[in-house]
Amino acid sequence: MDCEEYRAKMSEILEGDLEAAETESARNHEAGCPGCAAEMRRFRAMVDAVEDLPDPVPEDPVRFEILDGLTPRPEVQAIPEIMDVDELRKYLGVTEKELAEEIGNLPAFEFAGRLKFKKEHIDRWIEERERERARSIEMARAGTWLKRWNAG
Amino acid sequence: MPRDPSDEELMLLYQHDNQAAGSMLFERYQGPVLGYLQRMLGTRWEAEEALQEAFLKVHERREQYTGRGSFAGWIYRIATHASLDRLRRKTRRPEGCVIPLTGDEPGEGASGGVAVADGRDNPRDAACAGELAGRIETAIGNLPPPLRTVFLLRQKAGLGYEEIESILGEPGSRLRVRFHRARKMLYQELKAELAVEEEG
Repeated sequence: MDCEEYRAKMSEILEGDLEAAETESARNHEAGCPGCAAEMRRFRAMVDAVEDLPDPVPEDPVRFEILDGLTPRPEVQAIPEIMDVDELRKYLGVTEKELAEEIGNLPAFEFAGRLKFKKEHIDRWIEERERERARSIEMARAGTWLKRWNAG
Repeated sequence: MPRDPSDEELMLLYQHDNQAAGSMLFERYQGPVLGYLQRMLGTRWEAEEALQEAFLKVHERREQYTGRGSFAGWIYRIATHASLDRLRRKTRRPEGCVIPLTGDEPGEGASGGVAVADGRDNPRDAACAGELAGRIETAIGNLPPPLRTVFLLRQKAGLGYEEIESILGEPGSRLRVRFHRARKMLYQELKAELAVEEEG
């Protein structure tokens, strides 16, 4: 690498953005060329100076309380990892009756005489139902196709 | 030894409306984000306005932060879009102190156009006084916006290329080229000043 090439690539050299062979060639050049080494020091000084530029202080600092007053609280609430019956009902977005009809099929455990549901297992149960549904749709499609094929 | 909570930990609390966590996050980021917006937009008042807008969005969308990327990446994404929208809308109307862009002597900037200090609290005002920090601010302000954005996100905000890629929706290879071009342009413009600093 010569001086011209070295100076054109100072930014990449400093950032470590060159191939290994090129980086080595740059390092070798720098070691034997005091002019380019000084140029790199100056380049680095610029980069440091940019990083050290002070940040302004806002005239009107943003405050949580003000923003909170400006915006309605989003409806979305965090979902607990372990849900009780009512939390599960809300999570699934179903009525009490609908939940009661399905309760025997849901993964649950009892704690102090109450039913509890682990969110992770409920999610897995949902995914299994999705897969079952996709399979049955596929089967129905295949059945229709087979019928047509047999008929035709 | 107790450590400061990470941005992401504070964000988790903030999502549950913990005021103290929200305030801590704002305090951490409003200076750097204001600096970013000011360098992007060129004027203090506009940056202050954009800061309020950006933080209001952060507040409104806090539930949407999934924790997949860094909080810094997420907040700078919002600030970047706020500033690019404004840049698209406005045409700069220069007035005030004229600083040469490419000329070696003050007042000889004809080939590269002029940069301008246009009001109180503008970082470029300092350039009129000839301070190095002010000269750097001016040089950053003179970078074309696509170069300036990448340069500031990487060099000042400290984001990785992957995060900048996802913010700007452009390939990392192109962003790297822009980043290095920006640094080279700055260096060309500031070289003489840095030499003076080195000697004296």
